[in-house]
Amino acid sequence: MNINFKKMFVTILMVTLVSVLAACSDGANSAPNYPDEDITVIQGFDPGGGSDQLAQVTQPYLQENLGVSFNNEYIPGSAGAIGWTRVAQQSPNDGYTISITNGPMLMTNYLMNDEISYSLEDFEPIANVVTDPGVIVVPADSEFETYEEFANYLSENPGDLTASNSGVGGDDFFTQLKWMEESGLDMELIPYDGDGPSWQAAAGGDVDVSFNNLGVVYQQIQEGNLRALAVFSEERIEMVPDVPTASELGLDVVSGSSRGYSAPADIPEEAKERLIEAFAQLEDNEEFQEDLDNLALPMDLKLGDEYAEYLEEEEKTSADLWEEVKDQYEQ
Amino acid sequence: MNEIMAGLVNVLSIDSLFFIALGMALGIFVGSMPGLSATMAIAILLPLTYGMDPANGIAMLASLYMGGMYGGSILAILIRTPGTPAAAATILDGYVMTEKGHAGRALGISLVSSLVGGVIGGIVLLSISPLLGQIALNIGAREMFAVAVLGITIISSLSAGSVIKGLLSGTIGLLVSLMGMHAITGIPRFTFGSVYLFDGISFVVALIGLFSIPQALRLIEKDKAVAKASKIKDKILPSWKEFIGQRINFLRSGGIGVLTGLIPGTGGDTASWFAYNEAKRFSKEKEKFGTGHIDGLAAPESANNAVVGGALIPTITLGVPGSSATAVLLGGLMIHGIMPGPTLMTEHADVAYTLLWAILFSSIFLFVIGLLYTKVAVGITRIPGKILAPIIILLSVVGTFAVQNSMVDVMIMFVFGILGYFMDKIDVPVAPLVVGLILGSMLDTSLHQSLLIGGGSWAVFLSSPVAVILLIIAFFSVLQSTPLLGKVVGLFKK
Amino acid sequence: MSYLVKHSIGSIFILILSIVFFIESLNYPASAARLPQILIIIIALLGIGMYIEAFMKYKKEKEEISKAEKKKAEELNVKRVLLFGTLIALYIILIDVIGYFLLTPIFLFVALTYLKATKITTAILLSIVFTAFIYGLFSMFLNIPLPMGIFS
Repeated sequence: MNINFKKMFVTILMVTLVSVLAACSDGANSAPNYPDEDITVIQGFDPGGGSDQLAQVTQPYLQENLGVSFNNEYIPGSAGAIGWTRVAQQSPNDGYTISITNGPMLMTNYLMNDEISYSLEDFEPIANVVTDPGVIVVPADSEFETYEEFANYLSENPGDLTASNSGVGGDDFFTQLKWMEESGLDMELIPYDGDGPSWQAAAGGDVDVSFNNLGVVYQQIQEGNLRALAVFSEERIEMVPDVPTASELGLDVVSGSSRGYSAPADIPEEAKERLIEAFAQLEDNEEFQEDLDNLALPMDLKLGDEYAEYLEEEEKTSADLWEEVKDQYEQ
Repeated sequence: MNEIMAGLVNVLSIDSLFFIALGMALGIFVGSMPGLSATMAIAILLPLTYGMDPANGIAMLASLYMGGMYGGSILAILIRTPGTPAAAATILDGYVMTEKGHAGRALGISLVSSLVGGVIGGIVLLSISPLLGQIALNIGAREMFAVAVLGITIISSLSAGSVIKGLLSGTIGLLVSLMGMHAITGIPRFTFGSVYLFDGISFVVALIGLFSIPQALRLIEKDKAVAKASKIKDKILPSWKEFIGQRINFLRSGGIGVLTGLIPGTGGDTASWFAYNEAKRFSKEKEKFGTGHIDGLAAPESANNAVVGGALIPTITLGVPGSSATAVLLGGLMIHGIMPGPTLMTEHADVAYTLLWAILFSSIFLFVIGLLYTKVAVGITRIPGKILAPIIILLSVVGTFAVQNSMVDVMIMFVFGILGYFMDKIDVPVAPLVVGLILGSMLDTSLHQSLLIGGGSWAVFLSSPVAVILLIIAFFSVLQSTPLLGKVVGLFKK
Repeated sequence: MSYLVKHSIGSIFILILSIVFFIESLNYPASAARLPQILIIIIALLGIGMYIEAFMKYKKEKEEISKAEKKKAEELNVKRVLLFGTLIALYIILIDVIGYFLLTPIFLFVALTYLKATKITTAILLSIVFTAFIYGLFSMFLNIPLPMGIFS
């Protein structure tokens, strides 16, 4: 009997050990049945904000495709930096925790502040979903009817106009820097606390012009409270067919705020592929397209490596621009 | 007109009334928990409405907002722990009434004032919102600066006892609110290298610490009880005479609430202090404020509920959120596929008018549900302080954590708690610090923006009539609180 | 603690903080530093003013103040405040390590027992009921991810 007990004990011990070892070697490198449990989506912003809009509109379709539910976890603060630091440094890289990543905010956060310790390398970009292009808007009663009038005025009276943005380091701020560099024109930049206050400053006559995002001001343009002079997209946007793109006006500026999904770096290859596959299905989904149209958000699907390259490119241009103007802000 | 009636019919359906009542009950309960503000309650419960009919979902959230605004005052009155930032001013007279054994009466005044405030906001919203909406857009940086300056003058009127200590407390509040990323240069100020301080110190977090921790310590520091238990027979509802006596105070405070709600970026926290200050300014019995005076309780309470209607005005007519809570509501509308903005009243008239009526009806539920809740809540005053103290601590910790899911916030809360305790020990009032916290960064940002707009010249403020008027009022407020005014007036009398 | 000692500690604390903040503010560009520096100077001056005011008042009403302070000091149970404060600090520090739902009933039980607020059985019952209430409200209903510590 004694021997049997010992044998049993040793067997149990062995089995436990082996399974623990197996469990350890598992996880990071292989996930054949991915996904078989719910996926957590970390958002660096409050519910109801731009990231949440994307999540609510996208995730039902992903859920259908992947067959698991998505749980949103909101960790707001520091323009997303607190949430993204968590994803980069504390979240398990098993493919069950992903995050909504916003360009150029994801990068400009750490480019501008040494205290922020994550970087692009800590992320595995999965897919970009929408890009809300930058747009120049003036109040309805502005003297500028067209972009040319606006640019001509500035070239004759350098620095004589005030232009609002959504905050130092935000996408509109960088659009302004890009635009100023490309056009050689100068204006007074006035930062506001977010896209909303920025366009309101223009509509209320506090500033002459606002650099904003199309999705944010679309309703106001429709209603005639604001007038769009130019849009910083590659091609003309269907929603505002009469507004010229910057490239038509002879400026090489494409800029906006992009929102997509990324996982922590080094997630299992199977999980990554499966996720990309799920996003790929969104491309031709008419219902999804319609949902995005409702929110005035232009779809801009970039999958896997393409998204990664896009973010790297954004990082580089933002870093260069910031390097040039940094001294005005940090003395 | 048809849309207005259609909205009324919508609201009067069983589902809709059910969701308004549910929103109210949740709002009052969640609002009464420290840390869980109306804004947070909306944010947290927003996902629940994703599957609902948009009109019902939004009506429920609006009712939740209204309930949260009221709920915050319950624990502020009973145990000096404001449930929401908008209830901080309620403590000044509300908790003193509890200490004197009139908790029930204080709760009743708060309830009736909230009802009146909510109805004032609701009526303005339903009748003249398109007219007022435009005002929100015309409040720019210069006007915000003037509002902030006017607000700072409140500090001097809160400095009962020692002016030096009041000003000290207020100035510390202003400085603390400047911590975090500077909006103009993007420089993190006084963050001492911590990413967690980039957004500065959250107002709610500081507020919980400043009030609840000292209160918990105060409950255990002595061997005898601090507050008298409220008499069970204490009548909750104020008499008709008392009610009528407050009519001017109600109207003034409600008006202040609506206007403050209109201004984007300011909400119940600001409105309640303004209303308190004005009630005191116009009162013949200034010295009674802070000693459990009905006027001092009714003013902030009606103002913070009137904010709900006011804040919804620009939200609905322009798509510009009038407060942080309506900003979340706006996001909710968008997720429901309704683009807020100028087209809301025409394209989605059903949802818009349902929402407008829901605000009015929610005030009625506020009264009914609030009365029931209050009757239960008065019982808290009979719980011995030594049991209450650790429970206040636990609620503060979990409530603070919930603000941003952050333990760092909990530690900040505790630090502010210790600060509040010691301030109390050397008789430095906490209220001016709270006002400073609300206004500091607003003052700084709007000042910089105005100067940028005006090319660096201070004369930029003269170009805005509204700013000029507000600054003149502010100037007289300062004069009023110094002996100088009396002398000047005296000169003229001769 | 005497009236003047309390106020001098307060003033010194304010001055030290003012100096720390002022030095920190020297790193910022002028536009970001101006307002905080003005405020810091005002705070420092008011901090000194507070002590002077207390000093004048004490000189004038020496006996009344000492009497009132003595009465306050007698009523105050300093040891209990300190121990309770430490208990709160420990609770906050340990939440992340041990987990909210294990530590909370322990804290409540220890606090209630230490304060001699209730009978042991009531204390145990209250601790469990309260923790369950928080679990229901925050974890189930509001879906707020409280730190799980060793349970995670």
